[in-house]
Amino acid sequence: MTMDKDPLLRRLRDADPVPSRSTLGTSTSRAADELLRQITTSDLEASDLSRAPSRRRFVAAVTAALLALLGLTLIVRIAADDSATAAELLHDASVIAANTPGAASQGKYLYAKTVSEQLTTSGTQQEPWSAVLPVTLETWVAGDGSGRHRSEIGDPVFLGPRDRSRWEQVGSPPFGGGFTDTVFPAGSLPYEDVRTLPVGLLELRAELLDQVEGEELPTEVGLFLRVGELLAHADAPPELRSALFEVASQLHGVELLGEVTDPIGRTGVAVGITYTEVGTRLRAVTIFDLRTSAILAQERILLERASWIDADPGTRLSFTAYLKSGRTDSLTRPV
Amino acid sequence: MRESDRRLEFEAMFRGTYEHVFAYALRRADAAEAEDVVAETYLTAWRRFDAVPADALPWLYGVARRVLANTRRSTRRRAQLRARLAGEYSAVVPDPGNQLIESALMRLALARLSNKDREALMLVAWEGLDNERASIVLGVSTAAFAVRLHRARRRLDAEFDKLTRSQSTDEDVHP
Repeated sequence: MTMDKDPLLRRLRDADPVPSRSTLGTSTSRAADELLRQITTSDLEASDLSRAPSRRRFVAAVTAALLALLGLTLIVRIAADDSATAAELLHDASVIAANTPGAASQGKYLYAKTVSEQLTTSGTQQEPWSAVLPVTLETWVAGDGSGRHRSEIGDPVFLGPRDRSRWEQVGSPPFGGGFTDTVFPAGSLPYEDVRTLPVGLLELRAELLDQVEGEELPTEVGLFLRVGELLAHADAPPELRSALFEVASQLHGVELLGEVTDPIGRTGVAVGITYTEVGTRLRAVTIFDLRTSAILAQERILLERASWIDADPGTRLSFTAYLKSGRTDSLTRPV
Repeated sequence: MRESDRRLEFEAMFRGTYEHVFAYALRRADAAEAEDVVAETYLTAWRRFDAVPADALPWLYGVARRVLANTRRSTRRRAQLRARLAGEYSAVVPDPGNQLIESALMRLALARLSNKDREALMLVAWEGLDNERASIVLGVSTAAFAVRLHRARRRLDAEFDKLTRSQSTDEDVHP
C-alpha cells in the first residue's frame, strides 16, 4: 500500500497539522542550535534539558483554559444549532474529564452531599398514590465501612390533587420524615473503591455489565445510570472518568437533550435514555457541566400519563443533585 | 573515531533530522512537551552515537516514540491529542465544501483509533515513511507492519465514514 495510490492516505496526509518544515519557524531553528550546543559541549543529563516547573504549570494552565473554551464552544454549538450528537458530546466530555484533575485523594472518609427528591408509591392496586420526598443527605464512609449518615427528609410533595386525595382517604399515613444523624461502626456501611476499576473501555464495560446484571432495568439503562453514579464519585480518577464518558458515548439509545437547568438551578448539558418501567415510558437523564465534566444531577422524567401517578408527561419524578464530594479526615466537618 | 570527527558527524546528523523529529513530536504532544522529547531523543543519540545507523531518522523516531511513551500515560496523551483535534473540529464553520472540515474530520477519525493503529498511519501519511522504514520505528517486521497498516487504514476509513455521515445527517436536519 503506498500513499500515492491510496486516496484515504492522501487525505490523511493533507490533514497533517504540522504540514511542512517551514511551519517550524526561525525560533525552532534557534532552539535547535541551542540544543545542539548543549548536547555536544557539556555532559548533560536528560533532566538538565527539561524546562523549569513554572513553565510546566503555565502550559497546564493554558491547556486547562483551552479545555474550558472547548466546553464553552460546544455548549454554544448545542444552543445554536443542535449539530452535536450525544455520542460526540460524551466523547468530548471524555476528553475534558481526562484533563481535569481529580478531587483530593487524602483523607480517611469519603464525603458526599446530595439533595434529592425520591418518588414513593403506596396505596392499593386499584387506588395507588404517589408523592415525592425531598431528602438532603450527607455521608462520610471509611474504607472499613465505618462512618456517618446525616439526613433530613422534608414534607411530601404531591404532584397532582388525585394523589393527595387518595393519601388523605387512607388517613394521611406519615412518611417518616425528619432529621437523623447516625455514626456507624466498622462493617456497617457499604464502601466502594472505584480506584480499582479498569480504565480500558472493554474491561470497564464488562465490569459495569457485571454490576448491573440482574437489575430490572434494561441493560443499556442500567449502564447509563451506573456510569452517572460513578462519574459523581469523588474518588474516580481522571482516567476512569474519561473512560466512563467513553462507555456512555457508545451506549445505544442515548440522546442529547441540550442545555438545561438542573433541579437546583445550575446550568448544564443533558443526555438521556428512554425506557419502560411498570408499563410507563420514562426517561433517565444525566446533567453535567461540560466545562469541567462534573456531574450535576441525575433525574427521571415521566413521558406519558400513568395510572399510578397524577402527573403530566414531562414531570420530573425524582432526582439526585450532587452538591459536594471529596475526602476528609473529620467525621464532623464536610470537605 | 576522534572526538572532533564524532562531533561533526553528530552535528550533520542532527541538522539533517532535527525538524523531522521535532515535527514528529509536535504531532503527538504539545509544543512544550515536544521540545522535551526532542532534547531527550538527541541526548540518547549523542550517548549512543555508535549505535545510530546511517539512515538515522527511523531510529530517532523509535527513540522519540519510547520517550513519549515513558513521559506520561498513553491514555492521557491520547486524550490530549483528542482535545486538540476536537477543539479544531468544534471551531470549524459548518461548510460541507470546506477542505478544513474534511481535514478536521480526518484528524478526529484518527484520534478515535487505538494508539497502534494511529501510529502506523501517522508514520506513513505524516512522517512520509515507507513500510520498511516505518517497521524499524515500531521494531516489527516489514510484513507485520504492512498488515497493521492495512487494518489501521480500514478502521480509519470506517471512522471517517461514520463522522462524515453524522455531519451530513446533522446538516440535513438542521440546514
